[in-house]
Amino acid sequence: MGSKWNDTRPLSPHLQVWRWHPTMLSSILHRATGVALYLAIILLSVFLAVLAAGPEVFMNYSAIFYSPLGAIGFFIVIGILSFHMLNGIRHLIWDSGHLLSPPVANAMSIAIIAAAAVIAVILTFILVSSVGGV
Amino acid sequence: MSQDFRTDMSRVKGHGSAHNGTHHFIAHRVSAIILAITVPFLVWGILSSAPDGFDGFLDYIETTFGALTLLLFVTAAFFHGRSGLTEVILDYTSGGTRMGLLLAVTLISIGFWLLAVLSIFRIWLGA
Repeated sequence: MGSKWNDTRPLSPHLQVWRWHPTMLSSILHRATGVALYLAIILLSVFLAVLAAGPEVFMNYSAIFYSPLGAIGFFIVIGILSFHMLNGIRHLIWDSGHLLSPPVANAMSIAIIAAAAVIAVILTFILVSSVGGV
Repeated sequence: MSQDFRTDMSRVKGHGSAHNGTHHFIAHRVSAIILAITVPFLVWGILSSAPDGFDGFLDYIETTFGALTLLLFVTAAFFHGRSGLTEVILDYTSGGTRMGLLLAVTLISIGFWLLAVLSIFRIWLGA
């Protein structure tokens, strides 16, 4: 690593020298949301364990599940899940060789981010309005 | 006319192909397809169960369809998650840190997958 490297050009695309564009943003977001979703499935496992432990244990935590924190958590998880899933489906389509032209790929990156936000808002609204009635 | 496109560092290190990328590529996509199919059912299950609290979630998992989609989901999710995190770890770390993180992700994935599966079976079979 400490060798003499006199060429000042970057060896690989570094964030400092690349102009930000939509596909770059969606690529980074795909990785970030993927790592975040790993934490989400760990939380899902804990939630399932709490359910399996019985109603008494569930009651100890239900105040958290049914608090504004629960709704905010649902909104965030659904948002990043929707993005990762829509972008993942696009990756499968990309693998088949379609939708690869820069204008289409850039437009779809924006559309996928927007769609994920819309899905998160709608599903959180459905959750809050149905739970709020109890 | 052959031309070497490798960098100086790549030539010094002298590593060739590991010859295992194709398996990772296909396994990651197969688990992604299973997730894309099961996620809508899972989200619908949470939304339809949440208003009835504990009983609502139990009613959902106690159905064969609910239990099976959940089992499929958590299995594919931990496989896919470990596969993806492995990729991230290999990209950004090296040496002992890399080994430690790969081991940690493997153990965490198996541990929480087991916790989820045993919990689902306990609810499903206890119905």
